[in-house]
Amino acid sequence: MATSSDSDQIDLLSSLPDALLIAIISLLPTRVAARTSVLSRRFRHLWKACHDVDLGIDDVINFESSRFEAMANGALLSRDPSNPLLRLCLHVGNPLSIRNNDLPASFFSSLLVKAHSLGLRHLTLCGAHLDPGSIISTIFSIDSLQTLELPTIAQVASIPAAITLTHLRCLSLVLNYANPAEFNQLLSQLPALEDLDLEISFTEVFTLSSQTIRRLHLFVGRTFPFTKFVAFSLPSLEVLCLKITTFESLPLPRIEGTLPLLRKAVIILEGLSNGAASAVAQLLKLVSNAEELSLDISESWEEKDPFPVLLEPGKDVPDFPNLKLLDASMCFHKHNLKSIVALLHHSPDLESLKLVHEAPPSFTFQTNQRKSDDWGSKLPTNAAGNHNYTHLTNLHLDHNREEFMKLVDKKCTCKQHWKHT
Amino acid sequence: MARSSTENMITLMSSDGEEFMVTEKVARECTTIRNMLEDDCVITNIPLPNVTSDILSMVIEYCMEHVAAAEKAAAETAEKGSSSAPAAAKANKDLEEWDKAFMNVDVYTLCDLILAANYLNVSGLLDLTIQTAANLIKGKSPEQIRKTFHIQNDLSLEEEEKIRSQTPWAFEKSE
Repeated sequence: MATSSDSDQIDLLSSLPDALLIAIISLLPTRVAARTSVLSRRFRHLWKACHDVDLGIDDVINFESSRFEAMANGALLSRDPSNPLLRLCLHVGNPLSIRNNDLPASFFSSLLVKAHSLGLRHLTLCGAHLDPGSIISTIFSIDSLQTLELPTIAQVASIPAAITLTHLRCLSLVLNYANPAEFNQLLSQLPALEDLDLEISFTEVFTLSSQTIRRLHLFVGRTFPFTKFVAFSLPSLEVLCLKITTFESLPLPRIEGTLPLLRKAVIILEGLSNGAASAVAQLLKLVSNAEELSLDISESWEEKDPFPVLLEPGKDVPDFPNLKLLDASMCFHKHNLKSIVALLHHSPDLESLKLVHEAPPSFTFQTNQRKSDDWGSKLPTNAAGNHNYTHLTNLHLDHNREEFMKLVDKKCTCKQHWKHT
Repeated sequence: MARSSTENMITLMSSDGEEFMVTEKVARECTTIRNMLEDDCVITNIPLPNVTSDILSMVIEYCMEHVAAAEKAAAETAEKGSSSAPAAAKANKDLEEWDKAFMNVDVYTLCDLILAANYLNVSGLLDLTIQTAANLIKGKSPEQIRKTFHIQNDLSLEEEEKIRSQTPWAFEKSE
């Protein structure tokens, strides 16, 4: 631009009000933010007024605990008590550097105690496995917290019995070897909790019970011992996002419960093998109250021949009395197309339907084994001449619905299994 | 725009006296103006003594682009029942690209835009501009930051040394 070189070194940045400069510096990791202190007199103390402290490790390779300790001291422990701290991002434990082990849990505890005294609202812990113990009990005593993100926790056993996180609205954590009773005990002590983002691994049976949770993201990891059974007791749940990745013919976990207020469900299943349909049908039954349903399902790369993944042929199809929006991304071979048609017959209020064909992943050396025709899209050709994609709206109008059924039924040769309404 | 003739038009006047006619919808992107309109709905002429015509025209350009993108998404939803996820993702990406290109300005314009976005309370533009300023600071030595923003270093060598010694962890090199 014309002004840049001729404007004779006017320093407009320094003329911005403090609040705006602090807003800019707050976007920087604390190590970089502190570097602004030597720019000029104007900048000298600004970084200390940021409401965010991000004790991130920007270079893992050369990471040294002594530097981290000095940074934590300078940015947090010596912070003016009258200067509130809203957000803290803390790296605890570094998987790539054993040198970090020099820092005792008590040091991290002291950081958290200080943050607590400054009225901390949002805490993110990242890094490697957290050693439960004093640090966990310290975290759960910060009663000003509204959001809490934790990395992998081995056990929740050490969470103190009487915690007081009355303001906590969002909780995000990874549970290994979870003890459902202990975890539900924890949830029962979080009266304001609405969002839960949870990953579970190494857990055979898991139950989730909460009166307050409205949105749940659950990722079920496929690590031994594999999760076999999950039960929900979530009377307030409105949105469920569930992701399960499986492989090598592992059965899907059975998932049960009743979700009376469920509005929206997103289900992502990867690596399914033949026989998964009964678990998937059970899952569909669980979310059958939803108004919006999004399915993203793919078969295992090992499977040679297509098979039904959504519903078991010949078995009852769940009713979807409220379903208005169905959005499915999967391989629409003949079995899956049939299942979708069956779902449609049991979704009297459906308004919008979007189907996207995606062939399941395969390795190149396998392509000869799979007959591409079997795994090709059997969706009807749409107006644009494409049969990999269908988007139909206003299906609740009889006219449009019949039009679609005609198309699908024509393509779908053996429909006698399904009970037409 | 076809419908603009039937929409309420608002005249915004810059500090140097230039007038900009915009639709009420675009003007409402500025929370400061929205509040004025809500307090006094017959107002049609708003003087903005803190914003020059160069900067005001950029703020209006930003607001128009974002209003148009929102309208397009709403029209698609109305037409098709729901906007398809890939199309919505693409529209978001297009808008991000537009924002990125829009931020290709010199530091003077950037600082003026920060002030204007703050004064007019355009939260999207304020977030975008302060993030751009932060990105200009990241990955630079103090000397490079001073050069970028033409900051005069009024600290003596001794003072600077003293500050550096207080937070040595901020200045250690990370190769």
